[in-house]
Amino acid sequence: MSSVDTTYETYADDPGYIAANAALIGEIDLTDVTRVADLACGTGLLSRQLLARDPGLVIAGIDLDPIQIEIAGRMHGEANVNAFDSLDAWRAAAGTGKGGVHLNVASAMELPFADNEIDLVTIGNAIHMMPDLPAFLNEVARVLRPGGQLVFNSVFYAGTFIEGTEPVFTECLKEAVLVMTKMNAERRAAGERPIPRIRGTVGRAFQTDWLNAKEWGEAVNAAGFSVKSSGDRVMPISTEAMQAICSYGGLAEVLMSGYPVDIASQCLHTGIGNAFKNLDIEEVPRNWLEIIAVLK
Amino acid sequence: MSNVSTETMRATVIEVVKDTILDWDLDLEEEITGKTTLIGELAFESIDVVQFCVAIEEKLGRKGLPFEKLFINDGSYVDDVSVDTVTDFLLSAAVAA
Repeated sequence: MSSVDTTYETYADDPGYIAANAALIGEIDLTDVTRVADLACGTGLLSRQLLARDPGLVIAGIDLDPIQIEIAGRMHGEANVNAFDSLDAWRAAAGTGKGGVHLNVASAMELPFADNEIDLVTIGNAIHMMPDLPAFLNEVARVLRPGGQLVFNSVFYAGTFIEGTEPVFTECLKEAVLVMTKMNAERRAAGERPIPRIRGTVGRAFQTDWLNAKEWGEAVNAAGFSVKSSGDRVMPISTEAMQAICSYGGLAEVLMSGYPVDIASQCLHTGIGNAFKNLDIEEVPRNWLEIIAVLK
Repeated sequence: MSNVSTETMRATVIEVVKDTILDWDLDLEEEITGKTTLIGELAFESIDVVQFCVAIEEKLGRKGLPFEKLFINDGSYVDDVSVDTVTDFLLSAAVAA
């Protein structure tokens, strides 16, 4: 079994993922927007999509993972995005018309910005991972100016599954387990120990605390925002996209908790291929939640 | 599976549960019964639930059982399930061949 890519890069290159985020970015009113914070920026896709709309934006890309920041820097470079080497340089460029990105390894829970200095905060498919949602939203409210916007999307919320498609996601995980079972059987037959597993690396099952769209709106409002728009966007997930997102180490270590991440990713990649083949499908639709909120 | 009694199905589920947790070093104060909850009491993680489902299917010789109807409700995952909930599900019309 060949190794699979466990970074977010493969999924971030997926046409469906790019289209879903382009649709969100296209909805944003960029009037009076100069300074942007792209939180949990990953490979920097949203930043580049924003700059494609307005090359004068100065964007601070924040991510907790230095590997993602490294990838974002490389992909920005390939796209000829101007790079600011410090926050001071990023601040100085605001309003000059010469936009670009400053990348920073930092927590979205403790933003390196002054009060009221940001016009727009984006967070693509990551807000559901914030460890303390009210504290996160308060921190975003702190750095946004009054009238500033918080824009996010997510595929991890109550309502993301389109009725009738749930068996696809169940089948994918079952097939991944069967791949793991087969690998262990082959190891035993060869006189080797089965793949080691350490339980307790994640929380118990189903402790997702997924909010629905209404609850997301209420959470945002409680932090001093007013929801401008909220809705679902149906997007297809291809076999390759499903394999890419589930092979991402950050998700694989949750879906197959306690197993070595590279092996978990391999099992999910192969299992998803098997599941889609068993079900004779090439894609499955899933809802993306999109919310645009304005700070009062 | 409608010709299988509740007691027989519950015993099957309990047997699979015991196999699943065999190596977990759980300090269980009580025997596993119909009221035992997989997540609250046995600390199942998500992948444990999937492995449990696969083991149930193998035990019953049935593939593709619609476990999502057991674990997803109103578009979100349920909080927990008991052995009896699983038993009732396996005996329900949703699962009946």
